[in-house]
Amino acid sequence: MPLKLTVSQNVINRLTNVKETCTGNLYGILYNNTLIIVGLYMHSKGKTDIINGFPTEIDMYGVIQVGNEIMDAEKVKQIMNEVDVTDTPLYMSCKIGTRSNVIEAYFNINNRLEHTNFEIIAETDIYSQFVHIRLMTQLPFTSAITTDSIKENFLNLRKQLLNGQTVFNFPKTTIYIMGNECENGLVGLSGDPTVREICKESSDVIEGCIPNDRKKKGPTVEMDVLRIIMLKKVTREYGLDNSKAHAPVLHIDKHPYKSLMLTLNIDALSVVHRDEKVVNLYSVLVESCCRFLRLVEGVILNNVETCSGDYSLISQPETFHFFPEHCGHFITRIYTKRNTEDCMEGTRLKLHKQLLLPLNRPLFRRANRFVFSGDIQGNGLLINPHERLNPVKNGGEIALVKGKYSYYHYCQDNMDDNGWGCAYRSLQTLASWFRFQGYTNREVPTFYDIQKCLVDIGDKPSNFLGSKQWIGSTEVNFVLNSLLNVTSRIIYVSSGEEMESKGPDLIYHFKNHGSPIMIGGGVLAHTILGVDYNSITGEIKFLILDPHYTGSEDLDLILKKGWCGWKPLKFWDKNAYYNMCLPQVPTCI
Amino acid sequence: MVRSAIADDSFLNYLESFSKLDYPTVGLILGQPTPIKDYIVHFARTPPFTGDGSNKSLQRIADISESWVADHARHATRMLPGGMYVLGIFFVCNEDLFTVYVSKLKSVVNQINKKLASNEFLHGIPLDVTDKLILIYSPSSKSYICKSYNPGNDVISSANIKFEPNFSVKWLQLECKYELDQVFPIVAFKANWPLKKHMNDILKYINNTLKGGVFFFDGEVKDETDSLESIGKKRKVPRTKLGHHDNNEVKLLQVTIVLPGESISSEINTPTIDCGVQIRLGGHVATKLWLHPKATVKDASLAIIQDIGRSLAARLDMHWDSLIEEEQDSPEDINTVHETPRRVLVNLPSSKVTLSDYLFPGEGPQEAQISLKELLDIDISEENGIFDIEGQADLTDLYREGIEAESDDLLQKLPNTTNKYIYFSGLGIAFIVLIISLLLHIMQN
Repeated sequence: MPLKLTVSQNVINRLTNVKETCTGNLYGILYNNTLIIVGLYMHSKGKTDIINGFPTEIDMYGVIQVGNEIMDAEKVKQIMNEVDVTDTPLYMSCKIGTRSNVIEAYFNINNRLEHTNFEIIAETDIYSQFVHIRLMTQLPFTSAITTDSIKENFLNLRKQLLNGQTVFNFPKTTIYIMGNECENGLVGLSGDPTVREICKESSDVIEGCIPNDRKKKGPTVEMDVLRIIMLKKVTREYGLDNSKAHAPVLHIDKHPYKSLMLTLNIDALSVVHRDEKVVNLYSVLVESCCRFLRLVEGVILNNVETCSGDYSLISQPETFHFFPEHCGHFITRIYTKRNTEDCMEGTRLKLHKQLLLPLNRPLFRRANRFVFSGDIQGNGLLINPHERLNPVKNGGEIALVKGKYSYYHYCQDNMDDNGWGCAYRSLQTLASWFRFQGYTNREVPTFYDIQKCLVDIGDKPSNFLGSKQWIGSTEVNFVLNSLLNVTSRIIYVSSGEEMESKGPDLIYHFKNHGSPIMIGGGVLAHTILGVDYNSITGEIKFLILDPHYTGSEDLDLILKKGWCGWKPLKFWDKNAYYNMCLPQVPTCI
Repeated sequence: MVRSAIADDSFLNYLESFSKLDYPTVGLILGQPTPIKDYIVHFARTPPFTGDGSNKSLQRIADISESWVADHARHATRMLPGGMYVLGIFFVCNEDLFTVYVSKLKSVVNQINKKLASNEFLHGIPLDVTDKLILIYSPSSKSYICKSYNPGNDVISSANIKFEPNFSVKWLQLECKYELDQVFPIVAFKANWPLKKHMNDILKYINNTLKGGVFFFDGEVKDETDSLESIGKKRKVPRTKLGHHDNNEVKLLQVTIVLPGESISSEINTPTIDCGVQIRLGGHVATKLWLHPKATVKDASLAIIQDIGRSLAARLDMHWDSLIEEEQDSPEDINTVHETPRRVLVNLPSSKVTLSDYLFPGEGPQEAQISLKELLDIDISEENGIFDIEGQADLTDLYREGIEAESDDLLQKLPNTTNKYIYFSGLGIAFIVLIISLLLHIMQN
């Protein structure tokens, strides 16, 4: 039976915008005779491989050729040979058109390309069928510091995963997935459940990306992530006769040597269909760990080889999962301390190009990491509360903040700033946005940081430090500039009524920059998150995030009482003047 | 609550057998403590004192050497599976020791506890029972008196001991094979430590990691408080394995230990360190232990951990004792391989329970017979009483592994080429066979 082909909307979108001739690999998931192409990776100079950065079960299924030339049959065949997961690799052509590109697909069946139709599938539909699994554990890694030794030790680690002694567990449960050779592959559950059933069975095993928000669909894709930990059997079955087994023996090797001693924090993703049997996850999880080990091996080898003998430059690798907008799948990257954001810029640029992602904003900096609900750290502030609001109907054009921010408001961190700190809080919300989007690694500045910055640049006298003095949009501008290197556009209105005329400016800002806006002036400071502007009637509404809220992080209360919500023009005081600080988003990656 | 213990009445005959001697006899009571009563599996008299040349044999209670008895307790503990302990001491003697020699009794018990506590990995003292039983058998009156002494608060209290005809416990039997396969790089500044000290660290490490493990019993994971009886199905143990014992069913549980991931020791805070020595552990520890029917999953897990620790500690101790001083720390020798003694199981004459003995490479069951007679006072015929359960390492294999580990760069490619050679010669042979069969086929036609 021929494969049914489905292509992710994200892949199509990216391909329709390509204007240059190029070739690349196509990556997909196969389930139930349907192939879903979810990712692509364009070829560039020098052999690079992304496969270990994809979640397991996403494999290379074919090639894509962009351009108007007649296909180079030989070259295509050669690349197709790399496809080892299917006998009928996929070939897609993307002809560059004047309006949009024309995409066609063929399966290579017995060395003949046969044209095939395909459906386009939205990201949300992919992840309603599939779930992610996040496999985590720690493995100690020791090796002499030579390329050969490191390679050999990684090979041994991978071999050990395959020897049947590996066991997987859904944390906080007694559900264990044992090796295939075991009598019962699944312990703690009866029958032969599917992934879908285990997700229902235990809310403990599942974590979404939007906590407490499983019913309502926001603009971000709702994803289920199953967490699994890996364990190791240290006993053998008694009955198995192993003639090589023997009593304990100690080998003492008195060679002094330099040793690499690392804890590998395994953090590997895979994608599985919800109808997959839980028992079948075993091989997926083993492969997932192997993929991760190959990825980390490359990073460690590179770290060792480029340190030219200075072992102090060797550092613990750190794993980051990215789920970039327009990409539609996870990309896992591992960075060492030496891989500073600055020195990785070239690598990131290449990666953006290879994945056909926008070149004007960071997507693979540390701060862009995907935050799993299980490890939302620290402050516990609400992220993007406005996403739970009901949509407004104004007949106008709506433009909103793009990406994530944290809601900063009065009285957080046990600090009583009620009555004077609103602009500080708005500034913190702005700074959190820049951090979430990866423009900066800097922590969101505290009140002290903000005041110190203003003193340091000479804007305020030294007794300002520790005071309870207000700041305004000018100061917000200064601080953003000094601490985050962000410039802002200041828009002045002499009365609240005049805000109506700024509709087009705000639409332009949110469309092109997408950062939240701080507004201050004669009276209170607020954060503007979006605008709904009808250019014909001139009617305008503002999406406001109010820093004057003093309660706890109670999303329902905040939305119900309008601390985050759409406000009409009369929200602004017509007897007061206003200054808006519109942070301009730099073009960088 | 009065401490009580129970034993098969055949042991009374054993005690009685010492009445013909003209000097007092001392020995150990071995068994398993439970919250309700202690199950005694064996009485073993302490071998006659030979340490000091002047006194050929001991004449009076006062002559008993505390450290000699304590040493016996240590040796006997090595032979016990996890969950079994030296529960106390017995004396065969006509004097009223509890009134006349009470301080002597106490000091023997104190010495035993001190000795058993000296190596924590031997797990010689049960976690929640520090009391030791003291049983005095009087041959003249054929009566006995039992008390319990707590060295902690120095109080002797009364205790109950019962000798029951044909007494048998519905023991649950647990088995597992714990695999040792790990490399321990030793930081340069510790490189000069004696091996014994390193191994102590490693024992501690093994003990701690096992404590964090998940224990599966016949493939099931249960709550700590669940009883072992609630697990799995009953299996009959083949008669041959048990020797001449009655046909009672023994529940046999296979134990699987699963450990979570682990990080590098927190002592090491840089990714690269200077190593002086590398210790690689290989082989496995075969565990077979016996628990009373009311034991919980937690009891069982602890007993397994104890058994592995005790067994490793016991053979390391024996191994160190066997080394002459220079061997313990010989700087010229770059690579050494230490083969520890292997575990053999020994049937007890009056119970299903098996104890262990350890045999050095090259030693056979005859050596076990000698030490069993001496330490446990049992006669075993080698055919049906002693079982080799771990196997001996093949020395040539060991040394080859040693060399490979030392210079893996040089030898790394060697196995591949041999494999290829075998592969090609295999192909060649196959080809020749094909030709011959073709020829035969043609000739037949």
